[in-house]
Amino acid sequence: MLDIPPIKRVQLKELNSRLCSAINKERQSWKPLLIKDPQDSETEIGPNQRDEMVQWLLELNVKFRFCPETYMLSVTLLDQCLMAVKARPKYLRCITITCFFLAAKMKEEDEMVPATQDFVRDSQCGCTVSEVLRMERVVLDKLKWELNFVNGLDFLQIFHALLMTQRPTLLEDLHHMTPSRHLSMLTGRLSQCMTNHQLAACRGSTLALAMLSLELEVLAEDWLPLTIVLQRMVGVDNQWLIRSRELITYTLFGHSASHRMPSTRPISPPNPVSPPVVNSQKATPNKAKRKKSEIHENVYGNVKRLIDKGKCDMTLPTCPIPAISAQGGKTTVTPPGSCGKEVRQQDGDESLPSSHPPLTSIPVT
Amino acid sequence: MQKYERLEKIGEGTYGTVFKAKNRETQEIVALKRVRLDDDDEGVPSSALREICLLKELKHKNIVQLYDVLHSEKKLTLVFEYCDQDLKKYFDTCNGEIDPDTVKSFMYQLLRGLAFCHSHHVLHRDLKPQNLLINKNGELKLADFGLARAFGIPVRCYSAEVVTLWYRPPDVLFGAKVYTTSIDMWSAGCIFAEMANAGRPLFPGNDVEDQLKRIFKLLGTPTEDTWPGISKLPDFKPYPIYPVTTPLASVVPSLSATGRDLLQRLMMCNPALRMSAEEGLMHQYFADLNSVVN
Repeated sequence: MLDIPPIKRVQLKELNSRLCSAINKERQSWKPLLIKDPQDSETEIGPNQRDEMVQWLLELNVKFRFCPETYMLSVTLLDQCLMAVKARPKYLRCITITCFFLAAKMKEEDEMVPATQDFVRDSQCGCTVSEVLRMERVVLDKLKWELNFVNGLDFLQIFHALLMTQRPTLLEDLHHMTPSRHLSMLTGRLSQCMTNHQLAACRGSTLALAMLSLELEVLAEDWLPLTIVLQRMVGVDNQWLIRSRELITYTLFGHSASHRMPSTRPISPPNPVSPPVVNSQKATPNKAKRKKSEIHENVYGNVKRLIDKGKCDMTLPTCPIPAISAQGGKTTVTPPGSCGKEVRQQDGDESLPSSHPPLTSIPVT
Repeated sequence: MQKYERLEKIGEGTYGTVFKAKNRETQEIVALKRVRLDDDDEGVPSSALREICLLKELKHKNIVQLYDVLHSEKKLTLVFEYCDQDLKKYFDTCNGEIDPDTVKSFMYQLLRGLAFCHSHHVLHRDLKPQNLLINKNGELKLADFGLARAFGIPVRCYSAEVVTLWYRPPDVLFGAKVYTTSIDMWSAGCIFAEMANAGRPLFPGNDVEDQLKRIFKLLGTPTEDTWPGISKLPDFKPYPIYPVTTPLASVVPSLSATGRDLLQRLMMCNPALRMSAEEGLMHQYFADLNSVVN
């Protein structure tokens, strides 16, 4: 076990407790988002319409200067609603704005939330106040007043904090990059990812990990073992991780790779609206013009490496969440043998430089 | 309201009227918190929304239990477990005298409820005797989560307009918008002293300035040395340096030496030095805690 200073130990304990409760919550409440292509576009809401609404939510969140937590919750609420009720497309805008209104009441401080009338007017949702209030009742009723969903942002924040405590040198090579700017940039990307219903269908933990692993690939030579440590902490399935990485790459710069790809490091500053940059590998100037399919191949290849390397190079971390082993048999893929005492880097070609302490798993007290 | 028979009005909460009522089926006595929705166009008040969502996840013997939510077009009713009185009313029945073991038991339960909230990443942000309920078994329960909120990992700015003045910590009085569980610990300290004095508030200030003066007169005015960063707080202004003349023993004469030590650790002006609820539970003061508290 590494010699961890007391303050760090407290932080780790806190992060561990947060990770545990987030994982447990996700286990209890997560359902895959299934929106089929509508057979009748008059009566059914399709995935594309859902994505349009989420894009709108992203814009509204900027307009009202709300925090990313509000946006993420509103997307979660919208998706939960679409799963809970079969609504007609003509109500979609009203459902969406109501979810946004509810998320704001939950996450923002009261002085930040405008009066309903102003809210409805400024959002240009085209609904009346009474329609929104009626919809509020319906949404709360359908969701049984359960609005505390855990989502990708919760996991992203925990993973990021874990990495920053365990590997403070991670951002050293990036100019003017602080942990909070870095997190804010990743949050921007995650927000953009939610506009793709296929990504919204992933577990928040998977999505956050996939997102972070793509970033780690740019930042750290040992991104692979780092990813695997986190992967085993949450018990994310390999296939889903690969799939999510592909989808993220596609969503973030698949459509218009030419202007979104960076030409060089450092990565551009955080921007919540148009997500900047994800590199599937270290950025080089000519990479900006690489085709989508090539990127995909590379992502896939890297993840395959990730899995292969993982098998031989790492001893397995403590599974920090008792629930994984306790309930694991049912649904989750718990990697076999994930109950070692700590992460130790074995001798091998991927071993960590000695200046970087390995990402330790956290003792549960 | 068919399921419950309304018995009598108990009081007014932050966002609604509270009634004592009886479940017609089970005869169980409950408390109904009723929120009118047709008074304005704001829909479900954010305080009610947060209280419901948070309490659904905070199940603990020292936190008031939410049984049910009844929602109609005109009103919203929250059904809670019934408690006989709040701590403020309890004080009124004390006639200026309170059993030291009761103080210890109440304080322990207060810290235990708080420790549970904090371990679930929830800040209460409005602790005061009116929001602590006491039932006839001497159990204390945290109530009124209308200002409560879940707190995340990256430090975020929150509202400084929280906590009733008398129980508001100096950092928040100076406009701090970045705070964490320490905000509740100050309030817990104030309530501890108030309990020990059978209901006499520790710092009954009239406004923010008066409140800070009262605090600094007792504890000494903090400086950059004792509290690095204090002068950078949004509403900071210099206060006279009051010498600490009054010993804590004369402020809370009925409190034992270990009790005073616990109080001292809670009443730290610098939030970084304030004791946490979990640490408080381990304090020597509770070493001889009556086994009745379970």
